Amino acid sequence: MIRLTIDGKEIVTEEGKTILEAAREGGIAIPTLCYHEQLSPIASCRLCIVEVEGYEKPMTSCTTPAVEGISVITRSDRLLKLRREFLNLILTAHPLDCPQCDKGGECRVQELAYEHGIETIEYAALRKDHKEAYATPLIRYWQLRCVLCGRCVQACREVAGRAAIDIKGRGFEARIAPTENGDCISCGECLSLCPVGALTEALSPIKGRIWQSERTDTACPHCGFGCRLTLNVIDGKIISKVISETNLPPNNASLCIRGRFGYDFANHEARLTEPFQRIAGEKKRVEREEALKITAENLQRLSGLGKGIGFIVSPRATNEEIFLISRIAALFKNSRVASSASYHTGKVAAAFRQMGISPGYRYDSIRTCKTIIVAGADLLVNNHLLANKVREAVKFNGARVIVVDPLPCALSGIADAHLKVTPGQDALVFNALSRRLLLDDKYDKEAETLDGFVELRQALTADHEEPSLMSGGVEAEMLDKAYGLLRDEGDAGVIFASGITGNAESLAALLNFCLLKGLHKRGLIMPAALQANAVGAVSIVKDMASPDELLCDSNISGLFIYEEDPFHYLNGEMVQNALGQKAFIAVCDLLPTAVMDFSHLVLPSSSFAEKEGAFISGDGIVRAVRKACRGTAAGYAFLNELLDRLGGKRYDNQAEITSELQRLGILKEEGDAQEAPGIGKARFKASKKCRALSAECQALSAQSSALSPQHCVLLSPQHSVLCPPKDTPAQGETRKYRLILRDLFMNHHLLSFPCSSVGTNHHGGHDAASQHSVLSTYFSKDLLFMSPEDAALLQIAAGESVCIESADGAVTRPVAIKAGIKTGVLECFLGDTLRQGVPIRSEMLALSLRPSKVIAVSVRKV
Amino acid sequence: MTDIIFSSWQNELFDGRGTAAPDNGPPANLQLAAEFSPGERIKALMGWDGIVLRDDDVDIVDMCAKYAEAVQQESCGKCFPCRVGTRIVADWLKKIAAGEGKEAYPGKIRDLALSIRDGSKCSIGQTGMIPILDALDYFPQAFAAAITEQKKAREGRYRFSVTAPCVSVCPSNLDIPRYVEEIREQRFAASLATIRQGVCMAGTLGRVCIHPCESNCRRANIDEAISIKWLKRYVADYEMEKNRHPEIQGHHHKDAKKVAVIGAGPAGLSCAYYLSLMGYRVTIFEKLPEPGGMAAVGIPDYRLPRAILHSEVEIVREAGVEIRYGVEIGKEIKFADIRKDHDAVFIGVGAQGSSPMGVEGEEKNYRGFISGVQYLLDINLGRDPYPEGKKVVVVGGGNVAIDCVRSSFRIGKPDVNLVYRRSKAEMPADPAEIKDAEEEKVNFHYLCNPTKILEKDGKVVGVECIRMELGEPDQSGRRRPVPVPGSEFVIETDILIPAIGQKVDYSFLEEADGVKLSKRKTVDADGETFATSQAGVFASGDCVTGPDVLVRATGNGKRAAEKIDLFLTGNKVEASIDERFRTLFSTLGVYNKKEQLGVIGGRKRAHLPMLDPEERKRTFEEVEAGYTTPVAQGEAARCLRCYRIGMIALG
Repeated sequence: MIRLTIDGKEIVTEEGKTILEAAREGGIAIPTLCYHEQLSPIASCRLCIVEVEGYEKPMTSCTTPAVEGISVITRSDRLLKLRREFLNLILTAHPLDCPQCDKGGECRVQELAYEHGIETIEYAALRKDHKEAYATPLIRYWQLRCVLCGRCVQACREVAGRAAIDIKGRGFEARIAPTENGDCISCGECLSLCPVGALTEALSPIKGRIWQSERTDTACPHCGFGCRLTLNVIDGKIISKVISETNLPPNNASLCIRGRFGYDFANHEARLTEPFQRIAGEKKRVEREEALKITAENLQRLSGLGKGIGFIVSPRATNEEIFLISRIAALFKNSRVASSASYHTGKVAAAFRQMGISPGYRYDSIRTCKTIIVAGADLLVNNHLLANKVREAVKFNGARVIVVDPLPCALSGIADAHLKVTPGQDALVFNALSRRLLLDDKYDKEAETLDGFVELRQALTADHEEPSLMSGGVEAEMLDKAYGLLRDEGDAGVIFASGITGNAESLAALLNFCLLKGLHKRGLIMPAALQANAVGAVSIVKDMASPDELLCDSNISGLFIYEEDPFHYLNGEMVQNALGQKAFIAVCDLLPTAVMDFSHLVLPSSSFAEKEGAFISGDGIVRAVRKACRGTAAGYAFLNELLDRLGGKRYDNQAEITSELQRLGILKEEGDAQEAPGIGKARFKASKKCRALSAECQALSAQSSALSPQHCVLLSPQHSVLCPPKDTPAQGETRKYRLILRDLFMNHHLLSFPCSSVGTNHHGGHDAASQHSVLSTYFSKDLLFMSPEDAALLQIAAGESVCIESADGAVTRPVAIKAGIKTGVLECFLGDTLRQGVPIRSEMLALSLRPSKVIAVSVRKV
Repeated sequence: MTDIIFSSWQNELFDGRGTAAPDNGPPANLQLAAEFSPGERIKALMGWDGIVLRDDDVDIVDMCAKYAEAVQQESCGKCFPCRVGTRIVADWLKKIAAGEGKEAYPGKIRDLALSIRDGSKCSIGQTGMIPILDALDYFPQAFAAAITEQKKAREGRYRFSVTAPCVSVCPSNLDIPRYVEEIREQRFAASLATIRQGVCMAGTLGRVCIHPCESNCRRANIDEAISIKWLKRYVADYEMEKNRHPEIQGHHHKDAKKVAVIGAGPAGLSCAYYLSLMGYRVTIFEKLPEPGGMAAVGIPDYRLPRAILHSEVEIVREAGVEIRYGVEIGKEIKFADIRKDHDAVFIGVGAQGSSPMGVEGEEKNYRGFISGVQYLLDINLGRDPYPEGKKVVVVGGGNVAIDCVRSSFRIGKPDVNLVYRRSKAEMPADPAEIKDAEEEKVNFHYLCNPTKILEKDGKVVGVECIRMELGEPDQSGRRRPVPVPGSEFVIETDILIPAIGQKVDYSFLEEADGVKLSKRKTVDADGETFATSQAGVFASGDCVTGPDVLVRATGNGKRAAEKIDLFLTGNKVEASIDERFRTLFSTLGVYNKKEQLGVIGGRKRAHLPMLDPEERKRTFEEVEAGYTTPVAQGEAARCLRCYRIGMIALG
């Protein structure tokens, strides 16, 4: 600890801190503009200058280290004169846009000018407005308002890990412009950190000022990371933008394109407001009371006939809604509850239970890892914030990154080793790594006490040489490099997603590896959660079925679908046939979906902004969902009434559900909220700050509180490791390519309709295509990609059409070329249903009868 | 400097304007060349430390306006005072120079210039206003007249260039502040690309460069110099570790002219790389089976792993250069044939021959008597040069001598000694290397010199030495060692290695080739154009200068490439404007060791983690690991970005 004096006050701080940090800790305010605690100091505004006794020149306190014994002055005539001079310079050629600038009322320059009593601008100089397009059409750049503080450029590099924008030009003509590499992923980091109105959100035409809107912190409804975001709501109804200034964990004010710009569906004019029946293809409006009656009667009737009742519940519904559905299901003699959460999180939960791995790893422990493996998780399309956490580990801890994925992904740029594994053969890679650990004696010795260790060791080390098949399509050099990074001491972490869970052996091999390395005790095993409440769904629904299983179950005759659309992720023909076999189908959702065309009764639900409840994010923490818009939580209300109607208990008070979940051991009380806001801006928000629920969720296993790591069980390989896994071409399998589907489980609300429906965007058109593309891919018109090597082999030029054939179907589509894709692999984004006139999603899903992320196909030029 | 009439340079005021005879003369250490190029006289200089004037017909108002415009042009835009402030100052000065000035301007310019000077982030803003403030202070009547009379200033002819203390002493002219800033901004690929604009051996230099830049680093005035060398190593290693592939353009037109390069050492590789990027078809002829010259055979793997050199040579090859190994000019092919088959030739054979010690028995070829370069070459090619020998004595005090002793441990020699005729303080080797050798327990014998080699049965058994004492300084400035009579003694040894200097092997040249040698028996080449006495034949590197540092070889290799390009395109082969400015600035002196920066430091440089001495002396594994990302960025953030602008008025 060191001691220094600031403005006569003695301050004690740690070595390595800057004077600014020390001052803030001691409650002394120094004016800043470009400084932001999430970024390395930029020192472009020069406003934080201080004087240090014994030194002639003023110095920026944001970059000057606090040194033992120095005496610092933060306010003096000289400093004040200089600060006013610099503010004058900032305001030179800064347009008087305050009346129409989005940032009016929360603008740093306004605040500083006011604090420093700037009444006139001393200088004048001409600046040319180049009117260049910004890196993304979702954000507008106002060059003349820009003060070139440099926060946006730094944020893009340091936080998002991209290099999408840079300073262009010199001197007074300098401005922010997109770089040539087209790196922008519209995460909006730049937008979020801009201290003035130079970067504004260009999606919603209606904004409203800070005093005209209500801001509510809530949970993001898209992926399972659990980001907090703040909804800016006008008139209590319309979400006009998402901001993320409150520095709350787990995302610390960062978001991705979906979190930041994927809100518009909640305002959509096509949203359902009233129940209706479908009779002979015609819609007939019914009253809510009637709808309740129809539902209850039909389900009871079918149950009485000995038929089964099926429920498909969205993994983006709140804990409370899922709980009500599970209570409703329990009232029927023969019922099953399914969710698309079963495809990934469900499998992980089962594996963890079987192997006794305790879930609930904090995202912050990523930062302490020395080596991080990211397997089967691209982190661009889903769980983008995990990539940010990994980048932080690299930045602060010099962590090494190993990517195991056949496709280029968010971390390819900083990966020390990129193992381009053949899709589905990840087991071979992890078995190879496990084998080396065993042979080198570098495994965690406590693993020897686990069940199954002896068999595993036997199976993996039986052969003298590592058979070439064991590398799973990965070059020996690359495997060596990866092993070299993993072999030694130091915390290691594994992050994985559906690329691994799609194949049972891959998951088993990966978890075996984790146990051998002792990651369950010292390190990290983190399954990414693909949907906002996948973890909650899997915890609350015991014996969760998969939707395709349930649909094809001929015993199930009555079907209640809550905020899901099976057509979104399953083979259309299969779904249609299955639906045709059901006697009664009721669908409750926010927006019209494809499955509604086959249902008997349609009920309106509410958007996440109208709900009050909770999600459980991928790290097992409960994330509060707060009501930001007026309007009833129609879905919850209906379920509650239905439960009551069917003879169950009513839950008018959600706190009762919380108690119930605690009683069942699904939620665990832990103490006060761990979240504390950081010092973000010069002034603090008023009481609308959100306090997340404090309970911690031991979600993935009801008994997990009793399980300790000693009970971990190693999952022995099902077959001997020399036997090829099921996905490799067996005898007669001629299809040499593997098609990987991306965006399979994205929030279907984002795709139902073109968004930005509230009038036309008065900032000046982007075309309809980019309206759609906004939320699914990154403005690329291309959705299907292959490697340059394969394109050369098949003599296909970019943009030409290919015919893709699987065992179950064929598709013809134009293909684009992307460097970095493994040969033999195709990548397809299932973005927008309405792209290019023909829905790509349903076409691609038609290629496989069973739900699968990886499909064996043959490819030829058309 | 008798014709200087005014100078405010470095606050040493000399005002000899008008007819009054001044009491003092211009400052003795002010070195301003009379001409910029033949025929272009330097009438005045405006720069980071003030104004120097030779002719009073220079219109100071005009020069100020042009200088301020230059500052605004070079302003990176990343801080407010410089970005906006210098625009406003330049506008006001332009108005005055256009005869539209107002009375209030000089005062306003002064006030704003002081704020820019005190508030700017880097030296462009901090120093850019100094000459303007000096002009306002010492030439007030010029401004007053321009404003009262509303008359247009007399336009002069000017040139300006940007420099920095580190840049001005880098023999390869690397844009150091830029590549360091790019590291701070996490743009590692961009940083490496900036480095590659000047050298193609970033990883090598990042490990072995003698870093004159660091000795001229302004940061040392407040705490410690920036670790420029290790930062260079960081970005080079980053590319290798992350398996990135740089984009190197290597296309050649089929009618491209052909250039032969003799020697694949740093000079040759540089020359070839840049010539190839310019579009020429280049072939390197290298007599050894490995590329790198002294960097490969002279520098052991524990300092420079061979993989680094190989990856750099790969890049040179990707640029389109063909390298033929095992081809010795003079043996396999004659120089004359090479000259005939190519449109130009570059000689970069280096100085790998061993200089004789002048000791009795030296020429007898006893077993165990091995020259330093040969010793290292053998070790680097993987063989023990003399397995029977167990005791080693190396004579010499340079890096080759230190490399010999440290390598000796690593091939299992238990008893290693170094004999040097002067004291430790005079040793020319890198002090860090000397320290590492001490840690590894080399026995140093200072102030002794060998006189006679002792042999038995044709094998070395010992060396007779005589003690020395230091006398008067010689032409290198070091005190000359003088033998102490009667102080002879014997050191027993079986291996004796002379490593006192290297000489050029020019035996591949025949008289008829027309390439003359200098008095010191090196290849004679012009200092500016690198041309030899034979048309179309150029040379640089150790074969011209004698043994010198790697970074100068790379720098001059590139410069030679540019001269060869001038030659092949039929242009006059002469120094470029940039080169002339470099000479001008380096004579003027850019780094001021005594400068008081007036700010607090408080951050020491980050060091590299090193292997333990007892462990590392047994292995050829690299002794130092590189920086990690956060450490590299933290180190890069210490850079003060000392760019500054010098502008001359020409007559």
